[in-house]
Amino acid sequence: MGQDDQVGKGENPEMTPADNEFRKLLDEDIATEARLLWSEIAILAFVTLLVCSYLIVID
Amino acid sequence: MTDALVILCVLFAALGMIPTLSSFAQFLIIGWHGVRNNYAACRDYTPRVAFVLPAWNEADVIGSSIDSLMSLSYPPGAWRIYVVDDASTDHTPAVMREKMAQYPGSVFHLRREVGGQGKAHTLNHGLKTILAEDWAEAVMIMDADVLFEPLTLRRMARHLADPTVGGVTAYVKEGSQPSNLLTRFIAFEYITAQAAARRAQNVMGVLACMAGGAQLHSRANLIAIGGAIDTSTLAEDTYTTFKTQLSGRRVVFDGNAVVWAEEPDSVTALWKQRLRWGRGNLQLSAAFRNLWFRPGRHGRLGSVAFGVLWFAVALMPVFMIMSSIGVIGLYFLRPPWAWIAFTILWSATFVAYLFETLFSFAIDPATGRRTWFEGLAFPGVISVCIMLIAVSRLPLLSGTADWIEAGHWSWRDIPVQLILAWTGISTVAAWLVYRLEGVGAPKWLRNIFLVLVGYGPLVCAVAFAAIIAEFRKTDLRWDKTIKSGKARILK
Repeated sequence: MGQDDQVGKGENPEMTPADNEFRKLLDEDIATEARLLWSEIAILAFVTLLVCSYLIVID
Repeated sequence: MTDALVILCVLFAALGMIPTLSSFAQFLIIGWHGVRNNYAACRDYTPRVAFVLPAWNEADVIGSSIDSLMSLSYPPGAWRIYVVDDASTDHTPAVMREKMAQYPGSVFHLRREVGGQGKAHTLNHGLKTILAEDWAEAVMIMDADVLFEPLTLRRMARHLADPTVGGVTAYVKEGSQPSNLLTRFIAFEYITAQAAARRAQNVMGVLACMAGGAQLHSRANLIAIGGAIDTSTLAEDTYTTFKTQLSGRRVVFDGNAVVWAEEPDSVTALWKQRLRWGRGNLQLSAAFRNLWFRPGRHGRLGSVAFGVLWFAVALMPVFMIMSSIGVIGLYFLRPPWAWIAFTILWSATFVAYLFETLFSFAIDPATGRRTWFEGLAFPGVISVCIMLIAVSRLPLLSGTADWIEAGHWSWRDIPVQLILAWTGISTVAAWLVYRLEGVGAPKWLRNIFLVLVGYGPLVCAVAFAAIIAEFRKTDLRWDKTIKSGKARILK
């Protein structure tokens, strides 16, 4: 997502408060999207497990 | 002859899966938005933004909308509010005088002396004034009752730093307080239709609609699409979305930018609103008839995937009814096949329902907590029961399927046929719920039937009414949804 280069570098001392606010907001939103990805994987795994169990039981 | 009819019935039954499968496919790619999104192209960009609020008799809501807009977290002096008063006959002008005095230089009142032509005409009056000056670098088209969260504009504007982006839209949440069963159904519907579907469309690189309640356009984009909103259809927001993408710019949905709106609190008002939307989308389908299923000619708008998504929604009732005809036809022609078709159709629907409902709750947990019951009852309790019958493989249907061959008839066949044809029958049942409210039935009775039949079939029934109205070319009228100022920003 183009954010990996920021990891571990901490806050840039040359950043203005507006820059910081922008960065914080962006990081929050990127984290939300990542959460959705993992939620989807978890729910999909759960539903797949249910379907597989069902197919085994009725077989 | 019989074999040909059987094949036709199988085809009809299979077509009924198109809306379910396209919705499921859309949900499957949502997670990919965590990897493929527009955030990498965002910059700390805060252009000067002109808000355009079309208003007709909005005295009850316009004051709070302006107050919410004036408390945005955005550089001071970098946004202005233009209320385009469509010849209101209530005390909207008095409210505007008060707000202009309260926020001098930030709030403007543009009044049309002759109104009633619809939202697009009203918006154009405002756009003409805004684009005649060179102050605005971006324009926010919105509805008068919409409430912005403080950071929403900042979240939307950052995407315009990328010059390939022409427009940005936000997640419109239903915020009526107090809520009722119908507004909670709508709140859940908006998770699926906006927060979910539009993320998926971001991944696909094509957006079907920028919500009319919050559309941020770059000035360059508005000028590129003619500096005005199309007035020939009832879906001016979707038309603008298509025009933007056809002019070579991208449109982006930011699901973290949230606005709150008041949606219809009665089935009658919902029917009127959705009939307008449905007819607008059909008019748009005809207006862009050279676009569909032509990959390579019109960018991603012409892709097969987008065409399937679009028509799966626009023609959903047709697919549902065809599916019922197919299964019932098999019941008469080849009974064992009817049972197989029924089991496949409803089992697949159950899997899609389970996945989409659970994932919708995860996408917007706050709304999910408020609307968990409506989410579960969205397809209707009857439909959920039929799904359970299908997956439980109860011999309810297979046990009676040979009645024709046996040459006798039983009362037991009626519920069996109702179950087999429920996808189509639910559309008629939903129309009856609408009529029930129309004849003044008590709300509790309407609610019971709405939960039994489902909100999904209700929306499907309106789409069917829109198809009939367009086919019959009945009078095109702009019916405004009445707002009473019930929307709140819910924490």
